[in-house]
Amino acid sequence: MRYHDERSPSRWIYRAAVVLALFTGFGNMPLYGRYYIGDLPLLAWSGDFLANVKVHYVAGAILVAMGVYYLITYFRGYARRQLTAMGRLRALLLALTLLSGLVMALKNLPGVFFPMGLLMSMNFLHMGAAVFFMLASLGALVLRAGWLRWAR
Amino acid sequence: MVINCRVNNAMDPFGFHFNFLPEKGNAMSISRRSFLKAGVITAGAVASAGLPVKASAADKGEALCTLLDIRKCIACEACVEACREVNEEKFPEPKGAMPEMVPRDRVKIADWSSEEKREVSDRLTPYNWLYIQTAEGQYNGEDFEIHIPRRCMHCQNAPCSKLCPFGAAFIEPNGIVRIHPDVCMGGAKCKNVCPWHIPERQSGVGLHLDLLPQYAGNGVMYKCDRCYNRLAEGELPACIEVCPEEVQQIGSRTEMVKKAHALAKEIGGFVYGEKENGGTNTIYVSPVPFELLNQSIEKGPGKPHLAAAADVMASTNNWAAALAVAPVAGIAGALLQARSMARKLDGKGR
Repeated sequence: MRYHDERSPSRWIYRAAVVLALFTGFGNMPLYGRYYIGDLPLLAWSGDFLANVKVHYVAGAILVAMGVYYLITYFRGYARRQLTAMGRLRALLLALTLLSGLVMALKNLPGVFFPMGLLMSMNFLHMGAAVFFMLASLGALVLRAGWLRWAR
Repeated sequence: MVINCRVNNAMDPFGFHFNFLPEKGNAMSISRRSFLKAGVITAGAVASAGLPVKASAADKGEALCTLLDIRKCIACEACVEACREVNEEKFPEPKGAMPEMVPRDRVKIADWSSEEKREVSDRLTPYNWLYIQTAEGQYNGEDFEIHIPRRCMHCQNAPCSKLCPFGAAFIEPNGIVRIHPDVCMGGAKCKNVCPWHIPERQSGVGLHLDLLPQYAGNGVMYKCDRCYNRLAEGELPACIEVCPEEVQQIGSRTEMVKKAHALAKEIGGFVYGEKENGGTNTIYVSPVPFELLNQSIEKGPGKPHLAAAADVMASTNNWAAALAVAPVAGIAGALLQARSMARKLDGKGR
């Protein structure tokens, strides 16, 4: 049996944050100016790299806060609700994306320098994990696979 | 003067050609080595091993900074020539026709590889990483003509590096900001976020040709790399080495800032680069205010300004506070939820 509460506002906050984080994540590459996305109404900001990063940080912060919240409440209620296989996959990929993202944000602070190899590795880990998380989320949407199920 | 600088490619642990390092004995004669002590040599030793220079290498030496006393510059362009000669091996060599970029109206080919364009020396190009600007006017009732060598400022918290989506632009512990030609996609984000729009693109080269040449990327971005390979060998950057007027000095940032202020005080002059974009490792001292120089110099593509430059990364980093607060918010939310549940259970128990 799946644990599912479509009415919970947190689901919609999560979805909005994921969409925003992925959208601005792609926007950190020079794509939106090139492919006219920044020309669309209400999306002019997306062609501005600095605005993109700021929105990306906010979306990421929402996901980190929700991640920490659900991690704690999940282990507290583990006896009753458990992650599905798709839930586990998404949780792993999201955790990788968020953790590498935090390291990337740390790297942007003054006085913090990464050697080029580490810098590239973190960039590609962050991008790769985010893309696989996006694919897993789309898969879960198509398969209507939830995050949690009631424990047997 | 001909400067020879043979190069070889060292591989980094991630499989990329990482450094173009000169072999010993092939570079021009050394002078003024005394500027470059432990910091540079330590960093150079690690770099010459083909490894990314580790932060620990910088522990012994601060970031390198240059101080330019622009009163002395006579616009002889010896530095420009020397820069081109020693860095020739690093210049792009496009092979074959330029790709048809998509969409054509948005993605312009930047091709500086023709014989004629390679010779351009009155602006920054992928083949000209340093040029001389000239400012003329009147200050305090006296005429002035001042020449200003311009190139990458090597910012302390360089936005080109911090915001490069591929990690192609990076900062070495000795303060040099570099762009790796084998990794750069030529998207020009670095140029966009640079307060001076320094990096210059050459289309038809680089990694993007092996990926989606028409649809992503557009060549490689080039700029001054402060002759990192010469520094690794304990030599001076070519522009400093050849200058007949000794316009530039190089040393630790603390020392150069101190000297800049002393010089500015002595001549009643002005300092530029110390605080611009949050601080750079290129500091100019001028007897004329930089606002005046900025009004006079020719500005535009490949011709950077001399205006005040706000710290690009500062506003971005202010927003990073949200990320610091986020875990605390998550924990607080979980505790509140636990308390609410406990109260509900208490209510049921009664």
